[in-house]
Amino acid sequence: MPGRLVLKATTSLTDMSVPLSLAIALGQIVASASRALRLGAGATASGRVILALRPDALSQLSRARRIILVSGTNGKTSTAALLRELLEAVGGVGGNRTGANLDSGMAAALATEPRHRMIVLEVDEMFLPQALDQLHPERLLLLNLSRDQLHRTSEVRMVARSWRDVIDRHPEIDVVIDYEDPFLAYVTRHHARTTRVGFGKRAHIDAASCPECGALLDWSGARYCCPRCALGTQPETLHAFGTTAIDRNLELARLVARHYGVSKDSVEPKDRLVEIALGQVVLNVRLVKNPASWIEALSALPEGPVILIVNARGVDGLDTSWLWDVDYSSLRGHEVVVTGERRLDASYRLHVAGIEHRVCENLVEAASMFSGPVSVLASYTAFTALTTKSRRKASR
Amino acid sequence: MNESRLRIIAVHQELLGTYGDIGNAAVLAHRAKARGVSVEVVLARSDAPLPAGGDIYLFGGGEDSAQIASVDSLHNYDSSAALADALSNGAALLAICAGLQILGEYFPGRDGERVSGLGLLPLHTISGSRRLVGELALRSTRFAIPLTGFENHRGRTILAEGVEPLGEVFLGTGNGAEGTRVDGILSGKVVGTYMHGPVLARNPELADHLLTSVLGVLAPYDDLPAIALAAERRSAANSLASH
Repeated sequence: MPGRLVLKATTSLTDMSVPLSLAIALGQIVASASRALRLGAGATASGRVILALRPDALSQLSRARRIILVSGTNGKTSTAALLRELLEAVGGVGGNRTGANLDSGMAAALATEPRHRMIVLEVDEMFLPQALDQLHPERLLLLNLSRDQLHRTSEVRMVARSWRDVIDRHPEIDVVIDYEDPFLAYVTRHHARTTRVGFGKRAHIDAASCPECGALLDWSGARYCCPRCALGTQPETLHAFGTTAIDRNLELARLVARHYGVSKDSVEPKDRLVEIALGQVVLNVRLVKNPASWIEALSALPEGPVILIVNARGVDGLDTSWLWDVDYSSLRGHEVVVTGERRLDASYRLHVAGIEHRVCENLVEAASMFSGPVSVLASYTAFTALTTKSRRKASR
Repeated sequence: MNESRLRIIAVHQELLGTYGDIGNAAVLAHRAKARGVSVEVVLARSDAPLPAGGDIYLFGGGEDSAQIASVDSLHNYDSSAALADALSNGAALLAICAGLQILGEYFPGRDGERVSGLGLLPLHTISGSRRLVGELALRSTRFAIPLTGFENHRGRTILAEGVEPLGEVFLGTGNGAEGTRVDGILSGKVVGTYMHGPVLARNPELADHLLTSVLGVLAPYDDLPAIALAAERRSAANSLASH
């Protein structure tokens, strides 16, 4: 782990009212230092300074600004980027481009973007209630909700509950949801300004039972439906096509952009795929961070060898039990290698599933077995380590 | 048991499937097949009575509301009686986390109220002040090597007087009853624990304990990926415990 700037607000600091502009200037100095020391992009560090000096920075900085928030378990960064790209057609757009999606990352983004620009922010699921209360966005795009980092969020239903509570408090916000996700239907059930986008039925890993009342959902019809409380029976606002998450997120971003007069459709879907050359091979590295994203990534594997990197540090989720909730049958016919700190958990899982594979100590060893393009599915910390390393290499 | 096949009943996977415990069914099936035993895994849904005639019943962990939906279903279909029958006819049982709580006398509901469990195990569960999350490891005189898993729960489970736990905790909390450091319950063919992982994936010896309890003596099976995983997790637990 690279060094980390730890900043804590002391009582004396918060008691003094530091001018916001000074807080921002200090934040920017820290961000430059952080970049110079190669500790990261600096957004988080700078935001922490700003918030330590001015705990009200988010609501201050969001005043008289047009803000769109994007949240969900998967696809936040790429969808927010797509939305910014689409909105560029009608003027400048800013946001937390590096994916720093907690209060600090958002404060840093708001502090550096000029006042006149629209802002598209991706927001961490746990932080969404606070963000809605403090940022007063005009629009909110919700992509999906499923279990993620169980040790941290505990229960997907608790997160859904917190979303519903905050959305009920903000009837003025326009909300766009993927209606095929029963949790999002639950979250926005009583919210009048909701655009419910239907894509056609798709399974949900955590929604066998109703998020509202706990009854078993009926999945036999054209859409899930709760036989007890009728969740899922509100009409969809419109129907769109999207069989993969990438396509669906593109449709949702387009829909939001259309509200701002953007008719441009010629935008490429964003796929958080990073290409890295390592020895003789080109690694196409994809971030997979929870069961839903593993299922999505495994369902869309190109031909060729596959390397799975499984870690279990903080943001990866400390518990690897979820490995057993994923179907690996699409790996049949591929050459498969597993690596990462929890490679033995992954290896035994594949062994029981009858998927032939090899185990390697590290990625270099794994990559050395192949030539040509290799698909790499990397858990969060592995993905971040790889992409940070390759960025540094590129900037040299 | 049924002569031709081992019948594993995974109970209410749609409700008690949040923590990957379905892997226990896969591991049992894998290890039984390796011994030439044919296996049927039945996913018993909560909108139907619990199937009778299972050899091993598996209860996994789930979210609070799902846990209550599960116990409601078991009460409504009088599945408790079916399960008690199966156990008295020699079936084995593995209950994890919420599943363990369901089988006891009572457990806390969403607002702390007492929810009646099935009353099949001599234990009850109350709510704790904080959630217990992390690696969990225990020593048991019944097993040659420590058992390891991952716990993630708020409930504190209190065993009735004289009831044997699965093991003595040396990392993490386990049942979390005041003044004790034990996890789970071990009573004949019944195993309960707070260990996810899934617990049988990380502890092949425990998987074989359950299989032996219904199949009799088993041929040895040195499944290297399982042994490697168990050893690596034990060593991680030892190193975490010594810090």
